[in-house]
Amino acid sequence: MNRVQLSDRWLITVIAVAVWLAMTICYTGSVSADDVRPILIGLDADMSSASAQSGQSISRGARIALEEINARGGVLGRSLSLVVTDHRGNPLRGRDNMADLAAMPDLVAILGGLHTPVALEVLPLVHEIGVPYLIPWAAGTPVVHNGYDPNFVFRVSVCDQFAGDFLVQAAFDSGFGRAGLLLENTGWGRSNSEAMTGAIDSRNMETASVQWFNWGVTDLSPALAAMQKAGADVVLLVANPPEGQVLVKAMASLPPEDRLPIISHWGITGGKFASQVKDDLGQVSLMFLQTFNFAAPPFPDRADDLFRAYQRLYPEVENRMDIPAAPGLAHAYDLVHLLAKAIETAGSTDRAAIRDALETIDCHAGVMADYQPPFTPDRHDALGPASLIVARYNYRGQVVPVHSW
Amino acid sequence: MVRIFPPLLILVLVFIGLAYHQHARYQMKMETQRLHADAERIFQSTTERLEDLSRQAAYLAKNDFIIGSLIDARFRNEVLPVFFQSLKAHGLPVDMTGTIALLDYKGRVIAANHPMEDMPAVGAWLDDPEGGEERRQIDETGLTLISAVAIYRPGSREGAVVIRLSAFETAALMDFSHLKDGVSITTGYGSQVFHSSSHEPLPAQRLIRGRIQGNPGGWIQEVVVSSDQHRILSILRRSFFMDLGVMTGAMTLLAILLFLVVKKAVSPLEGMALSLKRIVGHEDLSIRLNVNGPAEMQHLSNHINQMLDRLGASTRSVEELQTAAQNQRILLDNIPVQIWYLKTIDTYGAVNRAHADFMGKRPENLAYKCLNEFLPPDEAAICKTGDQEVFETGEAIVSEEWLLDSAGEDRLLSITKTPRLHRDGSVEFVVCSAVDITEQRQMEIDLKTERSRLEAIITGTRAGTWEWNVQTGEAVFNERWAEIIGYTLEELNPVSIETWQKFVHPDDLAQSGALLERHFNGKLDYYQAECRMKHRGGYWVWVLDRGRVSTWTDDGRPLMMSGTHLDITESKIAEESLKKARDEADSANRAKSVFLASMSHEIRTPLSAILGFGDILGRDASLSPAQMDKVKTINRSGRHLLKLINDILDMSRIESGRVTIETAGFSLKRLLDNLESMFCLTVESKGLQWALEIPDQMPPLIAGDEARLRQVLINLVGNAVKFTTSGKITVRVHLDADKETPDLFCLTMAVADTGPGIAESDLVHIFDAFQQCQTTCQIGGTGLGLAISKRLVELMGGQITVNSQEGKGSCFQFSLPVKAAAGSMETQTIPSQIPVGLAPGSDPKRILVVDDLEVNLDLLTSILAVPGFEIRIAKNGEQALEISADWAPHAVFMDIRMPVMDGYEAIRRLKADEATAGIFIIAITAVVFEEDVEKIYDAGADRFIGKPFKAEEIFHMLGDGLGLTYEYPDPESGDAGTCDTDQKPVTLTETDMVRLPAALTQAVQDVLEIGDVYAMEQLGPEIRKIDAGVAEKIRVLVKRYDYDAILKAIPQRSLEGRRS
Repeated sequence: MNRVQLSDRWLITVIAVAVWLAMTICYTGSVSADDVRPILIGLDADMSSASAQSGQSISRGARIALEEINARGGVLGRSLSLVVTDHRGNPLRGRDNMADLAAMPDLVAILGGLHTPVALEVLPLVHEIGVPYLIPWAAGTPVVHNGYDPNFVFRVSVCDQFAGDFLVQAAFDSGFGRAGLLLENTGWGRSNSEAMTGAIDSRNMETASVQWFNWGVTDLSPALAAMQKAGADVVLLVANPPEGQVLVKAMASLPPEDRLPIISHWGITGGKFASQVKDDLGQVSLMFLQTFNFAAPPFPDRADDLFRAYQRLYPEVENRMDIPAAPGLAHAYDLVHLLAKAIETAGSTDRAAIRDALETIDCHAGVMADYQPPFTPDRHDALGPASLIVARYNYRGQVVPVHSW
Repeated sequence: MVRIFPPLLILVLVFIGLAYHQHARYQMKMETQRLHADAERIFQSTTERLEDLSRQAAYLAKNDFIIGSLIDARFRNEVLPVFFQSLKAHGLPVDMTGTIALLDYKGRVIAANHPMEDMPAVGAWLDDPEGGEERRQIDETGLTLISAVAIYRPGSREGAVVIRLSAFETAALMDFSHLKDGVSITTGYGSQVFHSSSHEPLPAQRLIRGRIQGNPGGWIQEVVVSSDQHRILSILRRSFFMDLGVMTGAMTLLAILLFLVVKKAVSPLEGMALSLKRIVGHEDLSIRLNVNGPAEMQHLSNHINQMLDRLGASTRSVEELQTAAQNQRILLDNIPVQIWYLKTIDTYGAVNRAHADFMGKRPENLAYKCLNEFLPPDEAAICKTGDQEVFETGEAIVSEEWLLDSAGEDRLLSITKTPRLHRDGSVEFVVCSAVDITEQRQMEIDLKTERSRLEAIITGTRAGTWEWNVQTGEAVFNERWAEIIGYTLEELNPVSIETWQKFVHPDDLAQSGALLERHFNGKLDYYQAECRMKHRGGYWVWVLDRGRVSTWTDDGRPLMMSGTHLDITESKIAEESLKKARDEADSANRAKSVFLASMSHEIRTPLSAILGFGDILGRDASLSPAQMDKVKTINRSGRHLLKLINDILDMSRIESGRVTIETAGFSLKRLLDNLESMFCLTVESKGLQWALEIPDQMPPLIAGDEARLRQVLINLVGNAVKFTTSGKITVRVHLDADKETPDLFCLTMAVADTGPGIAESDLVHIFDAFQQCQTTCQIGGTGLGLAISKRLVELMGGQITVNSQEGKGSCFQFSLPVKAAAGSMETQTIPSQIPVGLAPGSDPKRILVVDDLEVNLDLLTSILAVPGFEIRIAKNGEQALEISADWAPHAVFMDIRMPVMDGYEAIRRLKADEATAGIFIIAITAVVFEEDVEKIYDAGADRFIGKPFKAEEIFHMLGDGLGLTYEYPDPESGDAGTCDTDQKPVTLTETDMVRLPAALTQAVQDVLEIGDVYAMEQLGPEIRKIDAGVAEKIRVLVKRYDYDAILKAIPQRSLEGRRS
């Protein structure tokens, strides 16, 4: 058809371009309209109480990841923003905070904090509302293995199941045979009790004694005495900084020949610990588990990058070893990146979609690991036993890895 | 009375009013104080309760269990509700609990004991960091207590514990203490007022209040306890007027009582007045008052009664007086004492019969007459002077006068004149009494004379006298008695028998007492004792105390005893010193004997060893003759020494009285036979005749000391044999029965010889110790034999005499009392000789000697080393058993104390085993107590012998046990050195000694002076070279130990030469 004339072509082209432009403008207009409203990520952690340091690390880790993502253009064309609430370790606050956060539109997921009890408290609500709950620290086994289907909880952190076994192995390798368990009387303590006793039995060791304490306990000497009477040769501790301090004080007050070595979960590292028991710390043998440590990171380059990014945002810290609660930093960082990937994959801010998308991420090069994949429908814990190390406080109060086993 | 009554009444009423008012004020004050105290108490207790509640809330808030429940869902849901249900607020009554709840940070209820609304206000309070730990509120709704709960970090406010009480419950918490009074409590923290129970509020003016204010900002602001004034007052009124009424009533009652009592007391006086009235009216004196009333009235009536009695008593009838006067008359006239009254100096008053008789008149003629009529003028004058004195002085006088009686005899009268004075001091009359003391005076004079005679005698004899009332203990001593012990009688006063007892030596007192007893019992006619009494100078004086009971009581007990003391101190002292000297001599004598004996004993022991081994050596056939000679010398010397020592010992024992004469039955015949056999060889060898004359009838056994008798006989016969060179020796025995006592005999034994006899001068001293006459010196001996024999004979109760004529011979004779002994006891005599071997034809005997000490083994084996004995030794019981088993000894000498196995055990085992049971075991032991002996025989030993033992005993026992017959050696030199060398008298003269060179003589002298026999023997050959005869003489003398004889013969010049 030669009949189409040049002027006709001109017209079609102009109309096509106009239409395309209009559509583009429309789309971009809708995007920019949306651009005004960032995608929110909630963070509910202890920001001001005894584990404030963990909350701070987690929020900083999240922020660093956020900045990086926003620098790349954000997710789904929108920037990410962090909304932080403080539950002060109080599960009831946690529940109210959770409700408040989840009520926000545009809030796609909530990061948790250090406290397993809070996590456990909010689980029903999380699943009732149906918001992804990302755990960068709380290690209680039932937090992730919660029986809910679909499971909205994802974790890049320690799971007590293998943490307990790891700690018992550490004791075993050191030649101890009669472990005394000193556990906090909460879900976290209970989950460890299960894991540890199972690990002890499987290694033909003995559980000499199991002592429980409540939050706020002021004197652990009776529990220690009971352990000694039962003939324990090592103390496996599951406690938070306040109670950990109480134990260290009690242990240091014993005559040197009566003191027992302490192999602890990482709860005590979540807050100001070393500085509070500086003198007594030198009198006792205390080791605990960690995942990420700047002195021995799984991927030194990525760790360096992370630190540089940290320094850009928080230039007051000069020595990376001075960064408190480093695991929280690394875990939160990886979690936010993973979330971003999921949001992209989901293609929307639909929470359920994002939940599903998290399960389908293929692989991710994180600071903690090369996740391949990070989560599966059956496994919502991204890290495994391989990520655990044993650490201690050095004389400066920094967390340093313990070399050997 | 009426006048003073109204003012008094007004006064009383005023006082009552004042008292009432004071009382009321006081009561009000008390009440206020009480209310105040109550208010204080209520304040404290209510505050305390509220505080307690606050503490409870705080405790719950800080409880880590509760904190843990805020954190952990499981606890929160499962445990906490149940726990809270159990909670109750402190301080509430049983049926109330209050509301206790746990709220979360927003004020929502987590758990509570009762259903409760949420409290958002609490949430707001928790949000406020300045809210403080606790909040308190008390308002119309009640009490609210909020305590913040911190979790995880001190100071965090994450929850709250709330205690709520309703208004009702709060009111229940208030402590109203169930008072009747009205209490109102105003609380702080809201200022709520609580009142106690339902009280009608009273108008304010009627209230008494006790009020306590609390600190601002405290639980309680104010507590007011109030009570009703009117109530107090009404109580007060009641009590007051009741008291008043009681008081008044009491007073009235008292007044009435008093009135009645007084009335009663006064009534008896009426009766009394009546009675007195009657008495005064002389109606009847015999009335006595009888008053019943108070004590004072009684006394008064009693005194009045007494007064009436007196009155009655004094009105006695004249007849009574007259009767009395008559009685007096009779009395006066019958007493032998002269009594007369003097109205004036020379006028009689009444006189009694005695006086009238003296004067030779009748009483009625004398009475009231003038004195001068009856008395001779001189007598009258004397009387007058005496009377004058009395009348003038008004004092009694006593005098003695010689007066003529009616018979014209001079009588001595003791006259007493006593005046009777008027009230004004003048003499009314004088009563004179006179006693005839003429006889009495004479007696006194006689007594005095007698006394002085006695005094003279006693003083002449310088005897102290004592008179003792045995029953009462009173005693009278004279001056000399006291003087003997250096006192004056005055110093010793008061004396009694105790005085004497005090001074007497306690021992003598006892003896004196005993003698007194015997005298009192009639056993002694006179009592005599020598007593020591302590002189004033502190020493004892000897007093010869003699006396006799002079009077006895009716029942035969001694009453009075009298006696004398003589100072015999001097004679006693003489006596004592004499006794002391004698004692000293005796003890010196005895000491000497003891010394001798102990020394001899010390010497004897080693000497026995010397003799023992000497004997053994003497039987050793391997010695050369020269050696044997020397050995014999040793033995001889030893035996001589032994004999000497034995004799000395014997002597000393006899002298110190330690020899006891045994009395046992023995055969005189056998003794004499032994004697004969002992000397027969010697007698034969000397060519003497021996005759033994014994009576035909001799009792088989006589009781006496065989050993001592033998000793005496050996001595006498030995002497006879020793000194007689030719002739005959006769031993005569007589037994004369005593006529009176059938069993008693007089044993006379005489030993006569035809020897050289004894010079008369020597005869005297022949029985003295260590006296040897010329001849015996040359012959040898110890010099004690006869002395011992004499003493032994005397000890045995007999006498020894000697008859001798020089050249003819001597006869020693002694006689003893003996008794015939019953029975025919065969006392074994151990031959005092050691056998040299078994009799020929005997089988050899095997003897085992067991002893752990070498020395003892040696001794025994040496002793037993005679032909016929095979000897083996063992060191202990075990070895003994081994050897016995193999060798089968005939006899074993077993020592007891041994190691490994002792004697007892070995003996037992030997006896237990059949094979060895027949062995004759002789146990040897040093200890010989009865128990040990028993033990030895119990173990099974056949015999035992004590250490030290005699060889003869050993052989005797062996012989007995094994039935052996021994061969004895020829009797050698027996007891007293019967060598022929000893027989002949040897005289060594100066002439003999001069023959020897001076040097040799000197050597002899030196050697002899120190008694070196061996050296002397060495010198023998040298002397022999020069002069054999002299040498022989010297040899004999040396053998006899007569060194003196040799020394005497050595020329003077040598001696002198030595001395210079």
